Amino acid sequence: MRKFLVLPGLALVAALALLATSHGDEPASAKSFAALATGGLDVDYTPLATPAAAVAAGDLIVEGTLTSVTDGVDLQFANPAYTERWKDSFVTLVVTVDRVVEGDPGQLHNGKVFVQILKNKAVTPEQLSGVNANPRVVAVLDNLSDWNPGGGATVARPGTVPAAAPLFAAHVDGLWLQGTADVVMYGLGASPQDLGPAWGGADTVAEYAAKVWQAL
Amino acid sequence: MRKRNWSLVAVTTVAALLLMPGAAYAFPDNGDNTLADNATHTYCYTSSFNTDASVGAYAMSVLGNTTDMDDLFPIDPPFCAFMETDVWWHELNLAAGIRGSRSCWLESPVGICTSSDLTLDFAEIDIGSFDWEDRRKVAVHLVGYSVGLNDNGGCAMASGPVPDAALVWRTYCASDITDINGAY
Repeated sequence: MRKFLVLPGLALVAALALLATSHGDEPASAKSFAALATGGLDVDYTPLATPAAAVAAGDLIVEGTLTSVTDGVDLQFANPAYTERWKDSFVTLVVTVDRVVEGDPGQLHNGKVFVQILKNKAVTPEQLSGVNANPRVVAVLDNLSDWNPGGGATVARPGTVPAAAPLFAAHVDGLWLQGTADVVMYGLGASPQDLGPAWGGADTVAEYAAKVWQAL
Repeated sequence: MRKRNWSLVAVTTVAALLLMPGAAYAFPDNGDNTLADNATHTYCYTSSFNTDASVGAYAMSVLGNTTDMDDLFPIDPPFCAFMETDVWWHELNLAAGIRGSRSCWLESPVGICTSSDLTLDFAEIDIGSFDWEDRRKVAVHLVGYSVGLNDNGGCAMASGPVPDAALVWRTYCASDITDINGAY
């Protein structure tokens, strides 16, 4: 009888350890941030097949640090049901830039870029802020100044982004985060394994940025 | 003796529940850990989904014709109105190279996505060759997400543009179909 009690007991301990690991503190990792941001969200995208393709596609390519997370743009429609469907779809990543890899540095606002990404609708910017480990970031960005989403939608800027700051969107496989405890970078909808052979197996922010530099 | 046995059962049950993946993990490739709420996948079009609405119907029929799931298009009202409809088809310029997206509008209860928004960016999809095939590939791909599939490198769940006009890119792999039929 004792043996029968010990086995489930061990299983219970193992299960609790597993849960603790999956929800444990990882303050220096970008892993939790990436997982939380992309839950319930899936995308199909045109890959940046080569570093040269990234240079061609990006209006701006930067390296920096994810310093904060705030409200994203809202898409608003004449039909309120459509507005409701798109509510909370975006979040703003504020990246403090320390190196412009490619593009006009004049697009920065006080040394920062404000990047819109699609996110898990069930997660708030505050929750994402809570797991922001201030990772290193490399980002291939499109300037959204003339973005027209179509479909009758208008874009409402978040009040938390300075009015004079341009908004950007990041390519799915052109946005990578890496905390100080991470040996590899994390994407928001892509993984390093998704990068084509021309990227030479780049799996860190530094390696990805170096590949872009080489393509300039 | 009987009381002790019930204690054992209780402990074993708790341990098993903690160790056992929930129903949401039925798919090996289930990326966001949610499934649709039942085997009948209803869908509707938003008013802007008009560049090529047949793409949505094509993708839903692939699901209905090749798996144990059914697809259902309620014709009244003509456009999306009920939040509970399983799939809302949208068309937008998603920017930054995104060809299509699937977003769970409401996960309730946990592990079940009550309704998904599937959005196509036709201009982005139409870059390159095989537009007719590529539009349908993306649509089938997004429907796959909505029932629990994830990118797996094969068939319709391969990521990115189609390399050729082959039908394989617009259908689910046998393993995907096995997963779907096992879950619904």
